[in-house]
This record gives sequence, C-alpha cells and structure tokens, in this order.
Amino acid sequence: MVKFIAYIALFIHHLAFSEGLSSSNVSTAVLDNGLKIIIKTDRRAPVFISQLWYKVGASDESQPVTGISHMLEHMMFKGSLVYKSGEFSRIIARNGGDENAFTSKDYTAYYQKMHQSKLELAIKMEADRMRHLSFSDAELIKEKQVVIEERMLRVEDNPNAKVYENVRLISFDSKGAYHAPIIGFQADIENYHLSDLRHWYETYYVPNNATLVVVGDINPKRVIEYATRYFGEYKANPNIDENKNRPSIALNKQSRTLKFKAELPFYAISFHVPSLVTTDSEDKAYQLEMLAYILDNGLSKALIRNQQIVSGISVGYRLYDKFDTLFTISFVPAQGISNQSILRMIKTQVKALIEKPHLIEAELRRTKVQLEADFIFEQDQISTQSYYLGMLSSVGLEVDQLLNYVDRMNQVSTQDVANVAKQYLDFDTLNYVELIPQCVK
Amino acid sequence: MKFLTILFLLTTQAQAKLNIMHWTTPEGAKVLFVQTQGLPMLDIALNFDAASSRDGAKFGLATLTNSLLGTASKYHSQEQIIELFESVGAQFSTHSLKDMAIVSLRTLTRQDNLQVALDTLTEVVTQPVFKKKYLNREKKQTLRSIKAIKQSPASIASLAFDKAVFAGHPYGHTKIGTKTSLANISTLDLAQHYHTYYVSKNLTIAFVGNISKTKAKQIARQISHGLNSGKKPQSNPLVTGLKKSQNIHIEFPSKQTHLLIGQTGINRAHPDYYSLYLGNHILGGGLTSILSDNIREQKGLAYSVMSYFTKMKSNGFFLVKLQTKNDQANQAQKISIKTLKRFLNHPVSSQQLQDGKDNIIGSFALETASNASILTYLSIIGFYDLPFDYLSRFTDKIKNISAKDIQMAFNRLIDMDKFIILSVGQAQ
Repeated sequence: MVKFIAYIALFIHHLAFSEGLSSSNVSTAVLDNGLKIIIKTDRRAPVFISQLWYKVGASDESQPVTGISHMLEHMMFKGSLVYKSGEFSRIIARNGGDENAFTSKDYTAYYQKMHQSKLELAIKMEADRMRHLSFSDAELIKEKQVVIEERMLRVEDNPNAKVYENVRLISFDSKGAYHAPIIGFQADIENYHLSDLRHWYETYYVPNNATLVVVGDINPKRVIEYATRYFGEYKANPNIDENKNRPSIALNKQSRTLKFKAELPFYAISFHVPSLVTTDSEDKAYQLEMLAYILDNGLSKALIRNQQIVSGISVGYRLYDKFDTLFTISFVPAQGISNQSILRMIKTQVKALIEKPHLIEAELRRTKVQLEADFIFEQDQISTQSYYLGMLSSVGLEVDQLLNYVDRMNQVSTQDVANVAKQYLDFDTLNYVELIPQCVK
Repeated sequence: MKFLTILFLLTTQAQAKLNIMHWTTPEGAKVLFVQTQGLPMLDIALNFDAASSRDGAKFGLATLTNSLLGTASKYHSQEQIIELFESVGAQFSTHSLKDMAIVSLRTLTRQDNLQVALDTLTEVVTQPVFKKKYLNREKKQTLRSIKAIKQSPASIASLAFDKAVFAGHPYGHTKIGTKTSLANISTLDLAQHYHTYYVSKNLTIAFVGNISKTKAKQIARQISHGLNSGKKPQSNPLVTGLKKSQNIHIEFPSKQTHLLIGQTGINRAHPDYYSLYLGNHILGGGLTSILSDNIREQKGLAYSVMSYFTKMKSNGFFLVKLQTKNDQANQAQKISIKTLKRFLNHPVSSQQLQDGKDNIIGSFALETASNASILTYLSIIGFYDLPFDYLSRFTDKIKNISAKDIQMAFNRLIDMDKFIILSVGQAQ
C-alpha cells in the first residue's frame, strides 16, 4: 500500500505491560528538591537510555517568544560553565553514546543511549546543564539561523505540514495553549534575546519541574545514587506552578483555504475533545482513543480500498495531551474527486457507526487484539518505553495509567464508541483547512 | 518501517556476540536466525533479490509486484487477509528498494496467534493472485505518489541524483515508475516477475524472536517449500564511474536549496570498506562530524548536513547532502567542496581518529539491542553474502585503521574532478 501521508498520522502508539511483563520492574522516587525519577529495568541488552524531561513546551509560550522552548533545547548543546560549546555531544559520542533532544507542546526532553557502564557519565553531564548553561550571544545568532533552516525544512517547504500548522492556528485561540507552532513563528525566532532564553531556563529548568527516566540493564539503586549526587543540591523553584496554567481555548466553525504551489490537494478537519488529563470521566478519553482506531481502519477500508475516492486518510487523537485537544481527520483526495464528496462519505460512515454500533463489533474485537499485541511489540525499543513513561509523568499522569491502558481499552464497547462519536464529532461546528494546489511550473 | 531506511546507509553498526544460527532450506533459501528471550514476539523478513533493479524496461514492475502481495491469494480476498492478520494482532508489510524486495511480519509467539500469522504469511507469499482490480488501484495510488514526490524538493533531488549517478544502470530509474511505464504493466507482467524472482534460491529469510531453533527450521521450511526452487538471478552489472563532473540545477519554488554533491561509490565487498566507513563517520556522520562543524556549528548554514555511502549489490554512491536558504547555496557549496578537498589532502587528526573509533566501538552494543535492529543486520548479512561473523569482527577491523589508511582509501575512490553537483531550489 502506498501510504504517502503516513508520516502525518497523529496516532500515539502505546506501551504497556502484559503477558508476564509485570509492573514490578518499574520503580519511582522523588528527591527532596522535587526531581522525579522513574526507572524501568530491561535486561535484554547491556545498554540503557537516560532521558531528562522538563515540563515546559510550546503550550507555555505566547507571542513574541513562540518557539522559545525549542530554541532553548538547541542552546543546551552550546556549552556550560564546565563544558565548551559542542563538548557535551563530543564527550557523549566519544563514549559510544547516541544522544539528542526533542521539544513538543507540553514538554522538552533530552536523552542519551549508551552502554550500561556509562550511566554515571550520562546523569552527571545532564545534571550539569540543568543549572550551569553559559549563554553566548555569538552562539545564539548562529543557532537562530539553524532553527530558521529547520523551520523551512520541516514546515515552509512542506505543504502538508503547513496545513497542520494552520489547523492549530484556527482551532485554538492565541491567548491559550496549542495555537502557535512548536518551532515558533519565523518573526519570533528572528528576535529572541539572550535574556528571554535565560529567563525561560532559570524559571523552568529546575528539579521540581523535571522527571529523570532511565530504562535498561541498570541497577535502580545506582540511578538514584547518581541522581542524588548530581542533581541533589539544586534548589527547587517554589513559584513554578503559578507560571503554568494556560489551557487551550477552543475556537469553532473556523476555516482557512491555502493556495500555494503544490501538486496534491490536502484537507484536514478538527473537532475539540478532552484528553485523558482534562476529561471529567477517564472512560471517555479511552472511548475517543478507540473511536480514532476504529475510524482510521474503517475509513481506510471504505474510502481507500473499496470506493477508491481518497489516496490517503488518517485519523488522529492525542490521548496524553495536557490540555483539551483535537480529534482530526485528514485526507488526500483521489484524482478528480472533490473534497465535498469525500466529506459526505466520512459523515455517512460516522452516522452509520452512531446509529448501528453493532456493525463495528468484529472491528472492535480485532482492534483490541491488535492493541494488546502492539503493547508487547513496543517494548522492543527501550526508547519507546522511556518515551511513554516520561511523557505521562510530564503531563501529570501516573505510571499506573500506562500499565492500565490495555485493560481500559478492553472495557470499551461498541455503544461507547457510538456515544463519543455522537457527542464530539459535530460536523456543524468543525474547523477545516484545505490546500488548493497552484500549478508548480 | 524505520529500519529499512538504514539498509542503504553506512550508519554506525555492529555488535559483539550474537549467536547467529544459519542454514539453507532443501529448496535453497538462505536462513539466518537469532533467538532472543524476554519478549513473546517474533520478527520475520523475507528478502528477495526482486526489486527495482530487476524491472527491465518496465519501470515500476517490481514495486507493484511486491505491493500486490497480500491483496489476494488463492484462498482469500484482501479484506479477509487483513482480518486474518488483525485477528491475531500481527503486523504484515511489504517494502521494495532497488535490490531488496521485502515482505515482513511481526507476530506474538503464543501458539494460536503464531500459527495463524505464519500460515497467512505463507499463503500470501507462496500463492498470490494478481488481480486486475488491485493492480489498477495500486497504479492510481502510485500516480498520486509521483505527484507527492513532485512537491518535495528532497525527493526531486534524490531521484535526479540517482538518475545522474546511475545513468544507464538498473539502479538509475525511479522504483515506482512513471506515468508512461505504469500504463504498460499488466497482471501478466506481475505474475511473470513473481515466478522468476520470488523463488527459494533467490530468498534470504531473517528471523529474530522467542522461538526454538526447531520451530524456526519448521517455519523456514514451510515458506520455502511453497515457492518454486528457481534460480538465483545473474548479478546486475557494476555501475560505471562518471566520466566528468556535472552541474545540475532544477528550479523549484522552495525557500531552501537542496544541495547534493556526490559520485560513484562502493559495494559491500570493497577492499577499503572499513577505512571508508570510519573515514565517512568522521567526515559526515552525525552531529560531531567535520561537515556538521563547518556548515552548521561554525556558520549556522543548515539544520542537517551529512555524508554517506549507499551500499548495494552493485556499487552505490558517495554523497554529501544539505539544505540551506536559497541565497546561501553558493556559500554552502564552496565550504562543502573545500571540506572535501581538505579531507582528501590531509589526514584526520589523531583526536578525530580516536573519537571516531571510540564512538563506533563504544556504541556497538546499541546496534543489536532490539529485535528490530538484529533483524536488519541478519537481512544485510544474508542478502549481501557477508561472512556470518561480520558483526563480531567489526570492531577489530575498525580498531586497526590509521589516519593514513583513511586518507589513501578516500584518495583511491574519490575524484574531485568527477563530482555531480546537484541543486534543487530557486537560483539566485
């Protein structure tokens, strides 16, 4: 199957434990200064991944400093009082490490993947840059250019990414979270000052705003010992929580038509939904998650394989977002098919699901089997395991909620799926962005 | 399918003591198996030498044939096949490159799940039916993919580079074909391609997971028994080296120019393989490389800059690749060329040499830390006829290379006067 829009799939692949994989290999601790530690042993290979997660990301930002969490992520490789610019990466590389970082809406995270004998080095170096970063104007000027190049590569020269950026711009008010792109608006990137970055760093890069996650063939006692040794003396920032309540603000009935040079049309719609963090009933979040799987499968079957009216379709839901989030459906129409006729078919499918939920009985059963298997498959990578542990901790969820995932999904019935579809998929108030390609030549 | 992308690249690799079991089935399929414990799962990759370099004049034929596996078999329709895999939680996929046509399966090893998944895999690979309705649908999808490529400057650049560096060779054309070439492909062509190339003697089976060797033998036998024994196809010719340098610019309305500087490279049996591997790692492999330092760290000209060798059955290419704002393209090109010249004219420093070795050797354990990455290595070792102790000897080979070895290897291979310099973007 040719799946050229696979990369925009917003699906979250989960990780959990089952079939003899008990939760006993996960341990947690909190240092006096508030640093959370989550450790999971996995003894299949003599390696570990160490990730430090900060609870700060694009959802904490507003103009004129959108993208500043991401910019700070770049600056974290530019030297501290102890290490010169670039030396962090060189030392980790020299020690056989694979390292990098990533920024998202609700968090910023740094990682090192190394041989088990290098555990202390990884924790020591990550601890150093939590508090001792040196900020150089010369480095900032160059790195801003690098980030602008990154924005062009990821967004400006990528038609579908532009559509997604616009979905968030129109679906969320700029006074709240999730409106601005993670990488920031270009005008903001061009104008960051060193003092903005320093302020962001000093406010958020503190132990009580971070979680250290280590997964691999390591001794949990050593992790806590090294974390205490290297992070233990840092002071908590008592004001941190006051800085951080900026929920997303939903906008409805918004739309935007983009016209620029491209070859393929693209269409994305969004509905406002709660996440597992914000929902008044957890069941509903799992039901929405199931709805996303069922619709993704059902629409692929009906519209790609049977009717052949779209060449790619993807349904997305972000179960673990910190604030109210989006349920999205996006598609590339097949040659000569109008967006409106596809939308009508999507509506028909959703209506059928709401009115005759028994029709998805078999599909639901298979999806549950698939999800259970996927949990086991995802344990193959220590980075996937640590990713989910760190992400849940960063949005304020407990490790248990990861472990219960399969059970909670197994409780969802066909009627539940129909109910959330009816409640949340309101085609009269949805937002949409359409790309109408203008000829390239 | 992240792991597939690295099959072509000289990325960091290898591990210490993997117990690779290997044998040949009575029908002639080569099998490599690693037993892993800890997770109740199994990964299988069936690698046929049946990809786009076997297209002949019908560009796109191999990719279409591979992607139609799983659409219909003698006993089941596509929807039934999908449901069979889904009902046991198995993941089935197909992927086609230039040399390798791959069919893969990831499944639980619980007996009832395993059996259904394996039986379905065996059926779709050994008893496919190529139906016109699925072929037509797949062709329509491919035409959309061709359009998707046309709006991506990175894809345009990559295909144009292939065309230039592999001119006249079966590696030169787009694996998904063109509008014209697709129009001339029939289900009969697919069946013929299948019967010629999807045969046991042209198959490498790689397995990783929590099953016994007895079970692995039984599975390999089941799959290869269902195929014709056939014969191994003749090797593709070597890629002819470039006669002269070429400057190619493709005008495209993007904000960045994608710059590719490269030439004919090596295959996996090349005598300088390890020196080139280590040398490239120092030159353009990762965030701490010379190119990254010169282009990104010192000048802020690019987010991503790298160099690599593609390694296939025939010789692949060597390439420096970056993207930069249109008005910086000339500057980035000059720095890249200067960096390459310097790399050829001067040996790397002892610190650079040591850092490169330490990174490759120190990260060895990471390369085989998951079933997925072990599977990739087994596929490479089997498909490219590498020695079975390739991984265990890897660090020893790297350890003994000198700065002089690297410099001489690069000078023997790379000719500064025969580069293709290709840009896609808005000329200034």
